[in-house]
Amino acid sequence: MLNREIKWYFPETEEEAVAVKRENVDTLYHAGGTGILRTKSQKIKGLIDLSALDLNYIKKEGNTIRIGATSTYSQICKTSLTEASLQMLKGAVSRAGSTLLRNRITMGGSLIDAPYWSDLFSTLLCLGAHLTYRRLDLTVETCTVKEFLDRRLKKENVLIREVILPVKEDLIFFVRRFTRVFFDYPVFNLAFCAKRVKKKGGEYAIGEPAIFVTGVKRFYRELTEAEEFINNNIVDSRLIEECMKHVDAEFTPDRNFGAEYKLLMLKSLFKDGLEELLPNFIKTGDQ
Amino acid sequence: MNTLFTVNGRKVRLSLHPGQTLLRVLRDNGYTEVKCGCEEGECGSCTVLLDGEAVPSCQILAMSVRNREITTVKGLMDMDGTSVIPEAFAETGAVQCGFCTPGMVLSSYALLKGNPAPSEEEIKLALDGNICRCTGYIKIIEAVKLAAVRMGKK
Repeated sequence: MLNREIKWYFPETEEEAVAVKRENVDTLYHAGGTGILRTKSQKIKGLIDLSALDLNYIKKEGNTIRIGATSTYSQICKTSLTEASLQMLKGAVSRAGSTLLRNRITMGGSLIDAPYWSDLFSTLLCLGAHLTYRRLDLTVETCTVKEFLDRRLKKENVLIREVILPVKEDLIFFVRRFTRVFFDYPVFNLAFCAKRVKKKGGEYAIGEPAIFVTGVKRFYRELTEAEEFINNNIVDSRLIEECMKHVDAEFTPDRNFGAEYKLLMLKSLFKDGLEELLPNFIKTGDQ
Repeated sequence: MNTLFTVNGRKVRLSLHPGQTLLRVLRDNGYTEVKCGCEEGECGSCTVLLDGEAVPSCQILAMSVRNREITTVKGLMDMDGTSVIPEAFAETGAVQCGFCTPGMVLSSYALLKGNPAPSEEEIKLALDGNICRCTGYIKIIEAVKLAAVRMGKK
């Protein structure tokens, strides 16, 4: 439960919302509210509800998919858009929390809250997603999700507006989560995406791979060694075996799993994902 | 303070303080069919429908939904004039202590409204936020399947 005397604000524009925030230091932006309630913080003096703002949409614009900050995970799962990058994101968020929670968890809230178990970030990082946000001085900035995580922003002071996914042709991908039981928060998340590039001999190779894992020390890690190893290669069983030697990440041990065990599971899930992609590399007749 | 809400199709003035969850506000105002379980968003016993969508009322601040349609399991009966889902739960033996049942019924309703013939996998996914400590889930899944068949015939 939060402070009994908390004050609510219901702005109708982004400018109004930011003005309230600027004048009231101990207020937070409120979308779904699940992250705010988890804090049980008595220090929060006010909440700025964003539901009246025009930030609830999922749409294709040119070569991008734009997802408004107050769009819920369920809305992402139900969208009829079929672009591969959105399918990858659907795969990531469709197992987050539970159906009940997915009906409340929003994109914007997740970006600000960023818990280590979030199912969102490995996929957004892989896709090279961007986001736009409004600062207290009303300026709008755009950056990649990676930059957003790396910047030393006071995140509660920014109003997330939207996430922008690139539409990528010939995208192949997989998303994996390691959990104790099927319906559980993940210990870590793994996401992989790449282009399927046709070679002269009619074979397909991996191009521009991106591999990210979250739930590790310092929140996320890009598996650059593995990326370099498989880039421009045709995937087969031998390559997958070899690639495992290039998978490395630093985990923190917890009461359930040791760091070594987590790394072992990361390799296992990575191998499983690559093997699932094998049919994409079968040589076709047209050359 | 008192604020106007729409609960089970009726405009009602509920007493609350602004930091309270929807679960607390509903129960304090007599809607005790909304059960209080974990208050962490894990168990689903506090499920209500918000504009027809199943949500955990313990994870929602009441003031943020004062303009939305809130439906509890009692309101569901009035809304559709039907008790197909609770009857299916009773007939298949999907109820023991009954504490999780209001949430189960509402999640099932939200599913069947949008997907009248769900697969077993879809039923499991729709109920993944509702935990039952007594029955196991086999009877509950049977109940949803039975309700789907009966609602399809109506």
